[in-house]
Amino acid sequence: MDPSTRKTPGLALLRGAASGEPEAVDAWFRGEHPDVYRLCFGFLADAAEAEDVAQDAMLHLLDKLEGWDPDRPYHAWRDTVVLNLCRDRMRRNAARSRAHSGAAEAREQRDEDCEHPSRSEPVEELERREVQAILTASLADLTPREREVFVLRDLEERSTREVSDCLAVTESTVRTLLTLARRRLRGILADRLPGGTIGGEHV
Amino acid sequence: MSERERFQAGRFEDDELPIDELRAAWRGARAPEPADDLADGDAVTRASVEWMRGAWRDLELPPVRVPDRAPVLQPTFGGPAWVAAAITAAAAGFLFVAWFAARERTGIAQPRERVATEDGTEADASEEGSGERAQPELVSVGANNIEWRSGSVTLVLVTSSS
Repeated sequence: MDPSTRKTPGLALLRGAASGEPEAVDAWFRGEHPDVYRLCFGFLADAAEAEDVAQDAMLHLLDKLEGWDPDRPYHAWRDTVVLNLCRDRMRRNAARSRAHSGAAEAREQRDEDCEHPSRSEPVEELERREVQAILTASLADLTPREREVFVLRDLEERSTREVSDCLAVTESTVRTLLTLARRRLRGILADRLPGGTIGGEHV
Repeated sequence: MSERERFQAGRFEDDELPIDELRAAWRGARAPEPADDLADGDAVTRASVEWMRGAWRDLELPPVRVPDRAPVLQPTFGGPAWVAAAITAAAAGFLFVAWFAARERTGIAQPRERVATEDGTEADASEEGSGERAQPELVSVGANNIEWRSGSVTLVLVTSSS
């Protein structure tokens, strides 16, 4: 995606939201929440966790908006804040040892949900719930780093440079992680889509 | 015939291997960067990623819960917090020095001098109408406030806790 075509809140809106103007806060919140939720969902691979962290992230971003440097790309700043909050959540979950058992249970449930998905175009031929279950399960099977790279580079369509800046790794590392993630996803989708066919291609 | 051609033609004995050339080639070798452009990938990988993108676009979003009111923002001095802290500290320092100088000059908070009266008892020297009691007196210094008193007038300076 061309960064210039990416939807960015106007500077006036950002300033209004930063200064606490109710209308600006409302408009900024409604405009940004879907994107922030998607990022959280992608990084965490868990809808309930993503909803919770997205709400925290929005409040955190609103609180920090006054300190945002307009010389820095807004999306890079926002994505980094969201990423760090998601990583914090994952660390906390790991520390509580909930992640392992919770993910296993969730994965079993998702596997049951994915029992009879069809193939090809997801929106047209699969029920929304089934598509989301496969999406969630596929993302959950990636490592956290692979997931971060895949979400930012392939799903959010950021440039390699932007991803490397956001994750504080080299562009070469981004390419390597992306290759691993794509390769792993091929196998994951082959297992989850019946017939091992995606869009007419045999996996 | 170059060494490479001789080697490819199998005209080397074991102890004649062009080891230096091989080492140089080894050191100079660079692994190709993995392609991150999806168009460079194979058809199945492209299809997998496109499937994920389709599902991503169709992701069910939760309802937006806009906070009832905007968070209360801390008043600022129009600059970073350290500027406000520095100004506050400088003001506090100046006032302390001023108070200390006044204290040295007037002896406020010093034990009052006792003088002998005509009847043989002691009395407070300041009771003899010296007029020096109009000087302000530092009552308390806290982490966030300083209080002076002069007669019936009290001055309290409170700094921002942030």
